[in-house]
Amino acid sequence: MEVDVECFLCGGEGCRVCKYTGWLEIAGSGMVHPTVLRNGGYDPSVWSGFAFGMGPERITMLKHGIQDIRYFWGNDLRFLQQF
Amino acid sequence: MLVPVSWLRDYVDIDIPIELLAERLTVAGLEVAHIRYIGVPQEEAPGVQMPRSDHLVWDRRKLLLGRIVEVKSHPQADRLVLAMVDYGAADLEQCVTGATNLFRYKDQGEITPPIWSAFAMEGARVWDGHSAKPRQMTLKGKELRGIFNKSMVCSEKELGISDEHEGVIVMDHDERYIAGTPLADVLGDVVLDIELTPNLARCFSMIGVAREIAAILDVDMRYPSFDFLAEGAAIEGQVGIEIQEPELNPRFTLTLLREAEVKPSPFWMQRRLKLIGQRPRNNIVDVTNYITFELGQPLHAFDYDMLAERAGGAPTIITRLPDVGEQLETLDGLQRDLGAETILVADTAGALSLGGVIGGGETEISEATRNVLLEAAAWNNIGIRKTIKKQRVHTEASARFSRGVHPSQAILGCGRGIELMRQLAGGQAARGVLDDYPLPPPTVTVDVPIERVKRLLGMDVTLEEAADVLRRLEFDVTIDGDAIRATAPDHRLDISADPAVGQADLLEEIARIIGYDQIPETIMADEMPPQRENTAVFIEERIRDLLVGQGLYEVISYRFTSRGSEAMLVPEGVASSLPDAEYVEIANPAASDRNVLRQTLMINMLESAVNNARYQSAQRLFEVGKVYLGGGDLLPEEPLHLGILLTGARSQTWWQDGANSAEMDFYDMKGIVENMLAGLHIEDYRLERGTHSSFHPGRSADLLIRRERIGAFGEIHPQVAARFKLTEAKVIYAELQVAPLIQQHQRLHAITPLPTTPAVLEDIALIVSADLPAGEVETVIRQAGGRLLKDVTLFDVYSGDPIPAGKKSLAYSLTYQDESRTLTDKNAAKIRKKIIGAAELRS
Repeated sequence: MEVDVECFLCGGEGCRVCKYTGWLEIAGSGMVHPTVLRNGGYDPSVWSGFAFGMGPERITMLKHGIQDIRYFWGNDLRFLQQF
Repeated sequence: MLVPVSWLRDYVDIDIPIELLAERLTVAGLEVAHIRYIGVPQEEAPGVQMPRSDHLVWDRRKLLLGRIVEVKSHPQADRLVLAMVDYGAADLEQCVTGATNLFRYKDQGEITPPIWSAFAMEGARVWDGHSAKPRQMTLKGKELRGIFNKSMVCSEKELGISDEHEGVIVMDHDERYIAGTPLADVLGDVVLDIELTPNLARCFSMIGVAREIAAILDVDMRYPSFDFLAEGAAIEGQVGIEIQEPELNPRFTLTLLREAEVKPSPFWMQRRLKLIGQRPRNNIVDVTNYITFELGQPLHAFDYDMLAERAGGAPTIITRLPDVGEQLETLDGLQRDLGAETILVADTAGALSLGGVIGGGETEISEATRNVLLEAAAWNNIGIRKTIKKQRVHTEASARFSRGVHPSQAILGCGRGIELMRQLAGGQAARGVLDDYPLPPPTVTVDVPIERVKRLLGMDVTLEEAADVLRRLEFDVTIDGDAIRATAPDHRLDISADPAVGQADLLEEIARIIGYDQIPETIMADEMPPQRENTAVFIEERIRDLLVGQGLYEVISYRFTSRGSEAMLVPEGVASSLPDAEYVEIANPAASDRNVLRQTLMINMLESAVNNARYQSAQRLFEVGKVYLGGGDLLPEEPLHLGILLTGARSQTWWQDGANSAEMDFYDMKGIVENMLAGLHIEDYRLERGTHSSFHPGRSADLLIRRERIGAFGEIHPQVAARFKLTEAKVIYAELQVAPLIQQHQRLHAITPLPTTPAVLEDIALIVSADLPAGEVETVIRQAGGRLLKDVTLFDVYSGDPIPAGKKSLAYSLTYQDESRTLTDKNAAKIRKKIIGAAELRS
């Protein structure tokens, strides 16, 4: 399963950031594949797993109106000093 | 994948709004990323949020299907003609047009058969065909070189179908439509752009998507006929098949069409191919592409006569691994070296194509081709993946075969393909299909108890509901007590025969067709496991806080660099202090200067400083990140490092200073590092004269914690700074290992009771050799002072007159204190004497 939020830049109208879908993916999740459980030493007929994770960048973009994800890796003090 | 809804409707009835369909597909795992409307209004649905489309909606009364029955010359203009259009009204309409594809009919009298095209009446809204930027306009009557004109025949660009504006649309006659039919009913369409994940290989076609829709909407699926009319001689004897590697090529089928006429495909075929982004070529090649997209079974067509010529008789198709050094020129014009992973389609004379990936140039279909040999085969998807990786070639065929196409589809593709070719190109199909099928995949049957379905999905599904979903997906289902027994349909390779995995596969099908949104929300029944602190992460965060608290900014850098970049950190003629480890290589680097993993943070920090120097001169940066030391056993060591960089003015210049503030130097860094150590309550540390090669000799220090060297800091060597063009101000840098900081930090520390006796303060000045580090002097003072010497602070360093050359004066303020009694001057003098004695001995 995937968690999407309405694109914060265009409000769902479609733009460059959301690739004109109106949505931004912020988290992925799902049931753990039986083979993964088995490889990890768990019997998949007994155990099941649910895994989920979210990307901090997208949520931060959402919170602060950051339009370019490359800012996070740019190390530009003009950006960093705003936090 | 682009999916025109008009094409889907060949196989399945869709009676819900398109945007609701898109939502249902997305929830079922086929993400509709974009919906393109052509001429028809946006089909919104309540509760479904999609971006507003700004496409042109064709006016049903003013944009009509028309027939051009005659083309006359324009009396005043050579580059304009008059098209006489029947659009269902009593009289013909005369349109002035510059469409070059109508010029050849000029003054030829009545055109038979007439040209079917798109007709726009006065008042219709269309795109401006002459504008470079998209711009809509309303058609108005006006004179064009002396002739009044109020309507037009349209190009694809004017209707928003494509950028094509060379001429007007030319359609074949379609018996379903008469002149005057609203154009939206004829050419209007909706195209879904579906982003298919690799596990949905079975959906990589119109039929694949239609099947999903049939299951989701619980409606019937209409398959096309896979039979073909065979009027020719039996295929046996005209061609043979030899499969040498059944593991890589489990099935190979061939059909033959003789006396075909290679020519452009009809309008409907060209239109569908264009809608999905394919370029029409000729009827034979178009059919192979069409079937690839219709059924998901890629086909390949050979010029049979070329094969017969190579073989000197009836050809035999051989699928085999390449010989050592074998090469093949493929359709894209590349001469390819063939590796041992690639399975070839060959004949007795040599290689013909990369099986399942791309054809060879020699035997391709040309205008001159008369007899067509049609291949539909099955390929091992891992083998195809290896080939496309090695050969760096991506085709519609390899996209499907590399994800897995069930071998059962080959015979269907062969039959459907040869029949379509026969209908479009004429000729006679040979009787029968040559079908070599040495390795059919096993039939997969999975049993799953309904209790397990309920438990794992958290949904109250009945046995009948679950069975119904699987039947809608064409599984063969029986109910056995409380369990479902389901046999996977023969277009699916993704249901595992492993019981645990197969059950999970079925559960996924049940969940996604019922809808993940139907799974109820619950609160976890069990208690949450106790939360335990992760000390390493906690201390890492503490380090960050301690540095941010001192005015530093955290940076995060890419971990890729190059050997050459890191070599820039070592001054000429100096032995490197960088780690003596092998580099971890990136197998396929994105850039040639980012081809290994870093062994130090220094390069990234200096690069950040260079980039920032364009905008600000004062910088205080740090990074906590891993470095990668290879060469050990299987995996590299990945120690966490802390890098700190300071450069520029110590404080902001403001009016009170009157002058520029002094620049940061070694002592600023020493302060930051010691403050951090104090914050971690690490007391047992020592600074020694620096030994790291990247620092200015004499302006650096090594940090030791419990006698272990854990890093260094100092002024970057001028040669190194010059290489990075960081010459405006000193660059001060520190790099420390984080693990010892985590190990040695004291989470809890005991305090020292406040003294009840007064302290004695006095200052002393020592004249020592100029190159003696102050740290060493302090060590001597502390040792000589013993238990009663509580604090030593260096408060002045002076050299010059009257201090002799080669000497410096170090002034210390000393604090003596004894917790058990009040010290007298006499006591203090005794300690002072000892200190001076020791210092004299040392210098």
